[in-house]
Amino acid sequence: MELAIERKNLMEIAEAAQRVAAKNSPQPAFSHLLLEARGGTLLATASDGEVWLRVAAPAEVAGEGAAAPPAHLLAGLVRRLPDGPVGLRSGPDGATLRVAYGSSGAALRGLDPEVYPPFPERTGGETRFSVDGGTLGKALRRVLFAASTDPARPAFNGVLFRPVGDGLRLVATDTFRLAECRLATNGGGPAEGADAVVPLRALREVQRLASGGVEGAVEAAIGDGYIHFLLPGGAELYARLIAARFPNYEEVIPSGSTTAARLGAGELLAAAERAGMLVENDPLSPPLVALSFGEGRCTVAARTQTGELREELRATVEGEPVEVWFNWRWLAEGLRAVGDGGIFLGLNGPLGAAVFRPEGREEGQAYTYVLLPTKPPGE
Amino acid sequence: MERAILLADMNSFFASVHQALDPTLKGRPVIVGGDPEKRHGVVLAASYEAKAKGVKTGMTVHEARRLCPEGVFIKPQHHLYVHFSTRILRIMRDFTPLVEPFSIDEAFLDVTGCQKLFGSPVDIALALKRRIREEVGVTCSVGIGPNKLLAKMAAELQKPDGLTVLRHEDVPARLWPLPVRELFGVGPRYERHLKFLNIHTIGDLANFPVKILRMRFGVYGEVLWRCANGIDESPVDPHSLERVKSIGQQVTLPRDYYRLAEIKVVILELAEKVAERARGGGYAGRTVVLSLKDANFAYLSRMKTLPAYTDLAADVYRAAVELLERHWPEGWPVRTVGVALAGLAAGPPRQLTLFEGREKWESVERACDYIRSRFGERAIFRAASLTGAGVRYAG
Repeated sequence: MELAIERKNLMEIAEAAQRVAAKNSPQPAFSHLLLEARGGTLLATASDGEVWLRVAAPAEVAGEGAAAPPAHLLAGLVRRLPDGPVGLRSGPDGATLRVAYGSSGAALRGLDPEVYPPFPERTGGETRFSVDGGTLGKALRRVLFAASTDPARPAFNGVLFRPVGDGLRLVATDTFRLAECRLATNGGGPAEGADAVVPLRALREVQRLASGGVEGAVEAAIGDGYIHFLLPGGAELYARLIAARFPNYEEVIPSGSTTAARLGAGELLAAAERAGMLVENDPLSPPLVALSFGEGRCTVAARTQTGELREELRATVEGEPVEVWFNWRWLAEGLRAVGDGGIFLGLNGPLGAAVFRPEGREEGQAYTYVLLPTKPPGE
Repeated sequence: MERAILLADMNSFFASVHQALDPTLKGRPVIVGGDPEKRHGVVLAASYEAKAKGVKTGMTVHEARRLCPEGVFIKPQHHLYVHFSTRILRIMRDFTPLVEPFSIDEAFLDVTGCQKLFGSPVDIALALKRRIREEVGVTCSVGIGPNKLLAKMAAELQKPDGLTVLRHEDVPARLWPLPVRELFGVGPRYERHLKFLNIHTIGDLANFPVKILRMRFGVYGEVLWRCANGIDESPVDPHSLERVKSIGQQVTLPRDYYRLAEIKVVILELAEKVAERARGGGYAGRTVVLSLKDANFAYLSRMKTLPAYTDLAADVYRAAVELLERHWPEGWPVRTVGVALAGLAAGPPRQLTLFEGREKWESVERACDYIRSRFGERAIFRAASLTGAGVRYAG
C-alpha cells in the first residue's frame, strides 16, 4: 500500500475509527484499524466486536493494499501532525506502516492486515428505510441522553427503533424518564418491521456522522440481529442489536393531563439551571427543584442549607394548580431536547408522569419527553 | 472562651465489667475473647492483671493461654457491655448534656459551661471517676484538654485510673517527644508515609512545612499537622451516633461456596435484611457495597452508586449481584459475604419510575416486614432460602 492523503482527511477517518476500536480487548485486531487503499480512496475499518465502522476519505493511491496499525497510536500521531500531505506506505512485512510528513517520518508496528476480521455480512430479509441525515442526527441527540448506562438493564442500554407505517420512532428510557422522537422517513417509510434495540455506542457514532459536514440521506437496514447504516459521505456502520425486549413504552405515556401549562422552554431551562447550580453546590441536598403552576404563572424554587432561590415565570396554565418536584438534571436535559421555542407541559398531579412537548409543529419530527417526579423529602 | 473537654476511657472495659459483676474475679487475670471451649478466636480485652503477664488485645486466645495459664477466660457477652456503657453515659449526662459517645468504652464531655455548677474540670473529672467507680464498678482514665484531640491524647498518657490535663502550652513538652504513631489519626500506613519524609515524632510532624504535607496527602495532611500542633476545633456532638452512615449485614458461611448461583442466594438474604433494617429506621441509601472474603481472607470490597435512593431489597440485590459478576471470578471459594447500603439519608426523596411497578414491589417488601415483626423471622421468606445455599433460615 502506498498513498498520499491530506492530514485533515486522514485525521477525520482515523479519529472516527479510533472511537469505535476497543481500547482494551483480548482480541488484538479490535485495538487496531484496518486501512485499505482502493482506487482514489482510503478506507479505515474499526470494531470492538459489537460495532463495526468503515469510513472513507479521498487519497492519491500509488499502490493498492492494506495495513493494520494500532488505532490509538495512529490517531494520536495524526492529531499532532502539521497540516499538509501525509504519506502512508506499508512495509515489506505487511505489519509496519510508515507515515511520512515533510522530511520526517514514523513507523508504526501493527498487525498483518490479513488477520483483520472481515466486515460482517448482511443477510437477506432486511427492513430498509431512508432518513435525512440532519433529521436523524437531531432526533438521536434528543433521545440518546435518556437511555440507561446501567448494565443490569440491557434493554435500556440502547434506543428502540420502531418502524411504523409512515416513519420511524426512536425511544430511549432509563425508567426515570423517557424520550420519544417520531420522524418521517423518505419515500413513505419502511412499512411495518420488527423492533430493534440499537446500542448507545453505535448511535453516538451515527449521530456524529449523520450531523457531520456532509448532507444527504442515511440509508438504514434492520436485519436478523443487526442494524446497518450507510451514511452520507460513504461511511458504513454495522451494529449487533441488543437481544432484550423493550417494554411496551406507549402505555406509560399519559394520554391526558390534569394541568396544562404553556411557556418559554428557554426561560424555564435558564431558571432550572440556576436552581440546579444551587442544589448541586450542597452535597447533602437532594438534586431537586420544585415547579409549581397556578393562574398565569410557573414558579421554580430550590432550597438548601446554603441558600434558596425562587423564580416566577409567566405561563398559560389550565386545570388544577399543582406543585411537583423533579430531579433538576433530568428536567434540564428534557428542556434542552425540547428546544428553545415554546413548551407544552402536561402534568398529572404531584406524583404522576409529566409530559413535555414542543409547542407547535416541527419540520420532519415530533418529540415527547416523559419525566417522573420525585416524592419530596420527608413525605 | 477556652473550652474544657473531657475524654473518659474505661480501663479494660470488657474485663472490668466481668470483674464488677463477679467480685471473686477482682485482682485476677481476666481475659475476654474467642470461644474458650473451642479454643480459638482472639483476645478482645484483658484485665490489668493479665496485661502484666504480657497478654495483649488482638492476640490469639491460644497464645494468651500460654502466657497466662492461670487466667480466667470468658466468652464475650456484648449485651452486658452495652448495658454497662449505657449506665456510664447516664452518669456522664448528669454533668452535661454535651456527651458524645466515641466507642463503647469512651466518651467526650464538654464541661465548658458546667464549672459554676460542679467546679473546675479537674473537680468534675474526679467526681465523674468516683461515681463511675462507685455506681458501676469500673475505673476509667480521664483526659482534660481545651479540645477533643488534646483530651483524647491526655487520656492516653496515664492508664489505668489516670487523670491528666493537657493544655496547649504543654504540647511541645508532652506530645512532641512521642513517636508519631501515638498521634490520634496516624495509623500504620500513615506512619510509613511519614517515616519516608523523615517524620518520626509528633514534634517532627508539628514542625514540618504544612504546604508539603498538603501537597503529599491532601487535606488530611493538613489535618494531621493541626493535630500534631494540638489544634482541633471540632465540637462535642451528642448526636454523632444517631446519624447512621451505612447499614450492613455480613455472614460467615458454614463452608466455602464456589458457585455464583449459591453466593447469590446469600446475597439475596443479606439484601433483604439490610433493606428491612433501612426501612425500619426510615432510611434509604444510594450506594451498595459488596464485600467477599475467601478462607484465606483474600478480600474484595466493591461499591456501586445507584441513580436514586432506595430501601428495597430488589435494588440492593441487583446492584450487589452486578458487583459480584463483575469482580469475583466464578469458582473462587467464598467464605464471608457482606452487603451494605451506604450514602444513607433519613426520609430522602423518592424518585418514581416507569415500567417497574415499583410502588407495588415496595408494598410487598413492607408487608413482609410487618409479617415478620408480627409472626417472627421465619414467618415469611424467599423460597431460594430453602435451597442448600440459604443460611438465614437454615436449620
